[in-house]
Amino acid sequence: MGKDQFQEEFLKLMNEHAGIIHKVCRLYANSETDREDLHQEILIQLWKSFPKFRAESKISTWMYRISLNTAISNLRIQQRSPRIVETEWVPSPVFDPNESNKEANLKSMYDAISTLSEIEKAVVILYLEEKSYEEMEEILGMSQGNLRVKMNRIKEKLRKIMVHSQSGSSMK
Amino acid sequence: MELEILKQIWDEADESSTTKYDREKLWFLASQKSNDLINKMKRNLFVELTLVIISFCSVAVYYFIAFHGALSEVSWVYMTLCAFFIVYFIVKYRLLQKMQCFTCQVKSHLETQLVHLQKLVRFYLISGTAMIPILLIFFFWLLREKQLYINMMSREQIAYFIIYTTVITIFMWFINKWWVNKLYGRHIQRLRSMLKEMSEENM
Repeated sequence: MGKDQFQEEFLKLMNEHAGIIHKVCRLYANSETDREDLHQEILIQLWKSFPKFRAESKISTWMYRISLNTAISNLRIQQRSPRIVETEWVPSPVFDPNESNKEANLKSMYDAISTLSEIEKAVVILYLEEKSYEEMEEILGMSQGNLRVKMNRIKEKLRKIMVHSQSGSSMK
Repeated sequence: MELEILKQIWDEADESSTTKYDREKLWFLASQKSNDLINKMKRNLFVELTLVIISFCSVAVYYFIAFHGALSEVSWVYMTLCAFFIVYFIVKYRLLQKMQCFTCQVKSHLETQLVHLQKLVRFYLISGTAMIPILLIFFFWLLREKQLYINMMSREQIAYFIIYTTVITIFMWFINKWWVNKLYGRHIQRLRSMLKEMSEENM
């Protein structure tokens, strides 16, 4: 494959799966600058790894592995962004299923997910992408049993946040 | 039920994040230098190596020429130290290289990072501490050999030297330990806790 063709192939794949990078960046970096840095870092790692991609696994699996590995191991970005650990300290996200304001809902969702640990975020992103437990195992390397347990805990955590936010908003 | 709302919002996010890359933008981004911590460490390593080679070789050349070559042993020590540092940098570079496996499963990538980072810390600690008694013994031997300050060595002098070397070595061990902990301690701790979280089974 010629260089131009190779680059063309990469461009095509990145455009087809651009959402993966955007979502990982949105979950793992808090500010716009951090998101841009992480976005660039992921693209660099994808481009570096692209010559070795043999299509033995799905392209999305390969992209998720690289994106999540980059996001999780990117200390500099995470150190710069203060991480909120305690759920109670987080401003309550307000979800309104009937609301047409997509951006506000989206922000609320990311606020809720930002209370999770780095590993939990990785699990939740794959869950929301409707990946099977088998695929999740292939990307994360966690056993399916562990993934199920973790997913139940995450659901519980998110449910509490959402219930809390809804009761908060109904009091207003 | 609530998670269904999240999924719905998530799917909408997918629609809103379909910004396409244009060719120029993509190549500009993908061809930049990586700012990843390990890549930065690799780049710093080359700068350190260059500085060590230049400074050690300069000192070695000076002692070869100065004092009519009477202290050429010092030059050899610096050359040996330089060779030792080159080996040290090669080992460190290889360990850093092994830490990066972005296409691996997330858990195995973290495990690889932890294992090699711990090796790197151990290597740094042992080599940094071992250098102290080796250098002290050499200079003690040199001063005695050249009869510069030490003509005769009484048992008392030897005892003092041994005590001094031991104290300095122990002190340096703790200093090095504090330093590597300051450099990598938090990162090692973070890797351990993430791996623990990934390994928990039905707890």
